[in-house]
Amino acid sequence: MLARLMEGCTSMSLGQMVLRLSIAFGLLMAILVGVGLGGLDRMSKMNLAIQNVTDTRWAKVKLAREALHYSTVNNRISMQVFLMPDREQTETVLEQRAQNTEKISRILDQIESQIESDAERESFSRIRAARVPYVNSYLSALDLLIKDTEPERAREVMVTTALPNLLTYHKAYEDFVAFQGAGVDEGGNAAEAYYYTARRGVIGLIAFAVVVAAAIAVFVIFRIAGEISNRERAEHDLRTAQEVLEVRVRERTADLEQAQARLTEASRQAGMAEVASGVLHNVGNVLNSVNVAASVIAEKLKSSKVSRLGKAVALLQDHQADLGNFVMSDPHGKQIPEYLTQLSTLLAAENEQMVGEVSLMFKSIDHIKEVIHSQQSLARVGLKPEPVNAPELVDEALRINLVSLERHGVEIVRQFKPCPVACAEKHRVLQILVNLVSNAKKAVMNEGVAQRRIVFSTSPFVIDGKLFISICVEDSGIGIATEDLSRIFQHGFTRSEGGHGFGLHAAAIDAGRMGGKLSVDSPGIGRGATFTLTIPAIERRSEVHT
Amino acid sequence: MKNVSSSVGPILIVDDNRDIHADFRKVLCTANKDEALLDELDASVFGGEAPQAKVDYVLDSAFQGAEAVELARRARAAGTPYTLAFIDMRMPPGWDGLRTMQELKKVDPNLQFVVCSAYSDYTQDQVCERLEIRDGILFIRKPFDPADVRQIAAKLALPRSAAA
Repeated sequence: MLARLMEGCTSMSLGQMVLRLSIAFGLLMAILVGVGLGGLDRMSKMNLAIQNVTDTRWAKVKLAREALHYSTVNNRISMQVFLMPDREQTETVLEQRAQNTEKISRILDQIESQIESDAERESFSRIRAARVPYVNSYLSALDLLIKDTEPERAREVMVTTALPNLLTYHKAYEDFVAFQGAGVDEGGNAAEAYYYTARRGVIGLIAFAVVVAAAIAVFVIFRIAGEISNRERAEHDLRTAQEVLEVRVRERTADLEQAQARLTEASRQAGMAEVASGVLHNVGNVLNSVNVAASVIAEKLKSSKVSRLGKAVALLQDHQADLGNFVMSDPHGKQIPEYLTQLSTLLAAENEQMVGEVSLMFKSIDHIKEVIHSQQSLARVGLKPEPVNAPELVDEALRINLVSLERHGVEIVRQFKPCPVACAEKHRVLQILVNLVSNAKKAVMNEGVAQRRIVFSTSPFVIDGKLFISICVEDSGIGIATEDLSRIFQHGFTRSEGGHGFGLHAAAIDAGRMGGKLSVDSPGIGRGATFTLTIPAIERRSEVHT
Repeated sequence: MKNVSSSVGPILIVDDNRDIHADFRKVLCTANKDEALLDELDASVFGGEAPQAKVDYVLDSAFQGAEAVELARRARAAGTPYTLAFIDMRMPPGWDGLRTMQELKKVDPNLQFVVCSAYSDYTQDQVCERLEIRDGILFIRKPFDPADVRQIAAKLALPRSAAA
């Protein structure tokens, strides 16, 4: 049963195993207690039996000794009888002796009724057998003394027959007592032998139980050791597997980080590409006007009517002699004033047009310079965080889109609160702001937007004891649906057709890198949107930058 | 005097940038009445032939793709369909050039397109593929050469009746 209890230990849980082990040890303890109690019971019973044997034998010894005592008394009486001269007194003594003899007979009967074995009976019968000759020899001696009054013969019989018979008789008693003593010893020995047997039995049982317990213990220890080694192996395997997994996770994480870095770089480049293509678009348009203006001026100069003035002057010089007559009456000459008037009108117009084109050209060139300037500041990459002035950055970012913003009649509002100097990578902030401006422009340029207005504001604020600067770009454009607010910074999410969805994504990442944040808020579709860029400010106490 | 007003097929300019429209006008609408008058006087005073009056073009301006489609529909209904359209590619916030051309094609299948853009999100092949045009499409880059624009206009903007 224990073995069955122990079966399948390896395949069960530790709790189950402990339960089964407890049951097994419980059973073992019960067996041990049972064996112990049984042994004790038997031993106490054995003690009682020994006690009984001793008691009955002792009683018989006592009876035998009592009988011997009376016999000894009687013998003394007998001796007295021989010495007594008074016969009357002899009668009294003999009377007492007869009583004693009677008592002895009763005692002997009592002993005989308690005889238990043949050996005992034999020993006892020797008492009776020895008694008869003694009593007979004594009585005959007495008869010789009293009846025959032959004291000499009586004394002779007494000495030669009665006394030896008495000795034999008493010897039989002694033998009987000795027999009983031997019996007691024998019983004790038997009991002791039995006791030892019983003790051996108990000890054997206990030893057996101990061996079984030891066997179980060894078995259990073996199983537990096996189980522990199994579990240790399993644990080791698990740990190994875990380590392998960890390594894989680390590798995969590293891969992912690299991929993310590549992606971030790609989006940043794409974001820059978007900015660059915007710049190209603007510059291209402005340059177109410059080119057209230049070619118009060139054409005007080439086909200038100034040469015609020279022609007219030459004609008048030809008719210098009769100039009045020529102008007044000559069919060609008459047309001269009209020709000159027309020519001067044209030349004035021509001049005006060229002045217009030149000023237009200068304006366009200024625009291009501004765009290029912004682009140059964007292109300065790899700069470390430096103290930057938020309002200045906003203005710089605005410049790149200013041409098209003005062209489309977008109202620009600047609300700059005095700001501490921020600490940031200038080109990154600029790139983010350029993106925000471009987005705001797209938002207000949408069809159905009544008021085209973008409000730029900067203000300092404190979070957790740290000073930050927030730059808000609030547009009155198409707004953002509430459900899109959370997706707006996601990679690939775009609101504009042809947009890449990189701009805001890269911007948000860059803002995070600078220890800042880019957030968005919009009351909903058609209700405008506010993008807020937060960048850390330089604390006043650490404002050691020059 | 008659020649001055002799204009060829109307041209549609589609661009979100107003300056570009002005540029097109400067390049394509060079005829000047005062100049023509002077030329006549010149011929009369100094003798010789007055130069041929310059060909003048009628230009229509659209600043958004949808607006262009609407103009094309009206022109067709009025019996004076556009022969040529100069299309910008990036025209926020509305349709881009490609979409605009797709829509214009639906309204007037014979309309000829010239893409005129500083930056295109599509390659020439992509545009042809999307518009299902087999023999290519003219691309001119801003800033453009005024002479190119004049040549293209002279080549493509013939009145349809004359071309037919």
